[in-house]
Amino acid sequence: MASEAWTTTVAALTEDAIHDILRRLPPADLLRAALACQRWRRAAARCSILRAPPLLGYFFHPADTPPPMAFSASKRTLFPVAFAPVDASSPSLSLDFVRRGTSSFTIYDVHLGLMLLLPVPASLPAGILPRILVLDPASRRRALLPQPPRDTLVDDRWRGSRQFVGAAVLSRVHPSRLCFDAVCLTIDGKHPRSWVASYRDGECHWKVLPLDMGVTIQFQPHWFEGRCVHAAGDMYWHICNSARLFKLDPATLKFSYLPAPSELADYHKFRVGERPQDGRLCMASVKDQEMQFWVRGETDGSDNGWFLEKRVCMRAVFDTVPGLPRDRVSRIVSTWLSDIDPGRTGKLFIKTMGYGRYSFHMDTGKLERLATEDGKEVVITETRLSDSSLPLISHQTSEDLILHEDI
Amino acid sequence: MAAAEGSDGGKMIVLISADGQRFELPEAAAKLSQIVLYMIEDGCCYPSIPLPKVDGVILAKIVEYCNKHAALSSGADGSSDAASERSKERELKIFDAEFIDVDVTTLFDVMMAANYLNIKGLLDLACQRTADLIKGKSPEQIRQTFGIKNDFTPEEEAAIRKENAWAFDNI
Repeated sequence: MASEAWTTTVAALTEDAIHDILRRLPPADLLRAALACQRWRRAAARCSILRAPPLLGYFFHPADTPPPMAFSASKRTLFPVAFAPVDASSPSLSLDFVRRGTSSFTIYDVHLGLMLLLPVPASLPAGILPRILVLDPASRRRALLPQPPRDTLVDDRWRGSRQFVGAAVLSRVHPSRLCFDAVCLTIDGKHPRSWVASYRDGECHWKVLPLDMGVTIQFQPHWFEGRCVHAAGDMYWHICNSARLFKLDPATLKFSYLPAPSELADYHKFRVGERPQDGRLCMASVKDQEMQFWVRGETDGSDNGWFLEKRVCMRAVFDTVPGLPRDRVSRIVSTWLSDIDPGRTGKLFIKTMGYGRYSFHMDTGKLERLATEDGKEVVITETRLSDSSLPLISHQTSEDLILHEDI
Repeated sequence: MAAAEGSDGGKMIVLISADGQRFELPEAAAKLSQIVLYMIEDGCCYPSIPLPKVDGVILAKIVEYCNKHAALSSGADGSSDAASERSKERELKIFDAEFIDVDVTTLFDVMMAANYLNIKGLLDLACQRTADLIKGKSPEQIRQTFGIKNDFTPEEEAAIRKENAWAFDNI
């Protein structure tokens, strides 16, 4: 029988040849090929170890375009989470596996293939930690974490003055099982505190850390942005009207401040992220129609430990935005940088007040409108990307690929 | 011993397949194989190069590939203007697509021979073709296409599918 001969032939392929074939496959095909047989599964695991986890797309809440120059805080409709695949070959992920929907939740973080959402509106007193919903869109699993028990912190004298800032994915303990740590940041009096929820196969345990007395918060905690940015291995919170970033080292859970370049200090509008080519910490700002791109590192003439890598005049670029006023003052107040693309594509996301949202490629200078098919804005900034570091196949040893029965 | 001369004056190389068939091809074509190139450089290519791991049917395919690529490689006929480069590239692309449109057994044989002879372009072509055959197929269809025996237990298979459910939708 012909299949007899084929069996010999496919078996004759060396490990390197199988790897050479499988490494050419897009993520979904690689996963399916890995289910052909054990040998292919091992070769596929090698592929997923060698290549960076794929970026599959972005999760976001679509938004209506606000009227131009409307600065009064209008009540915004929160649309359900949508997904924009990064390109045509990417699978279209959806959250339809969440039975009761995600309409009462808003995305706070997407990291290591996990999505973290918090309930809206935050009707709780500021000092109470909300319930956290964590989703794994790849395996369609979900975990709704309980709030920390009242006795988590013994003699909790901060209950009355605590301010909840935000929550984020801290680490993923297993690449494919739903085992992760999430962290909540609160400001208790004048010092930050982290609360760590460890979720292991259905069990959640809260651990509260001592107040970090090494760091003092001299401003109102509501100046913190609730969402953090994962960059270069650390977590950063932007602070409104501040020339500093608030940093959390996920390994030690120590907080610290990181000053922005002094050239941006009086401007206060900058975004932190990862440099596309090497993942180093970087910072971008769009100030008076000029884009600046700073990279963390000491060189001659570096500024607070940052050096200026790129400066691009944005005037001509903004000229291509339909309807955008041409005078300088209107431009300055109605355009700003909303984020550095966490997918490390070399793009920045630009927000305008009433003229749509755009991506701007720093190398090609190309400006592209970000909009959904029904004309809603793609709000990358308020979603954090889905750096869907899909737990493609185990990133552990090949033994680990022998699948777990406990799923 | 004097090297054999081809009709256009270039040196000719003789390859002998596992089943004893002789293939004569220009040195420029034979050199596409890294292994043959080393043998030519070391002067151990005369009177012929035995290739005990490659069957005659497959070696014929390999020789066809090398001849075409050597003949159309840039600057082979002295012309180097952009238009003729582009048309050669197009011709090679069409040739490659037809060349690799073979049954799976032949495809793997060509791949193994390209690997053994170290012909990078051909190895890439064969691997890419195999990858293209995998794309869009379910695990079961992949097994059927390549004659792979499923050695997962049903529990293992179900667990893997569940873990990455999104990849197994509509397939």
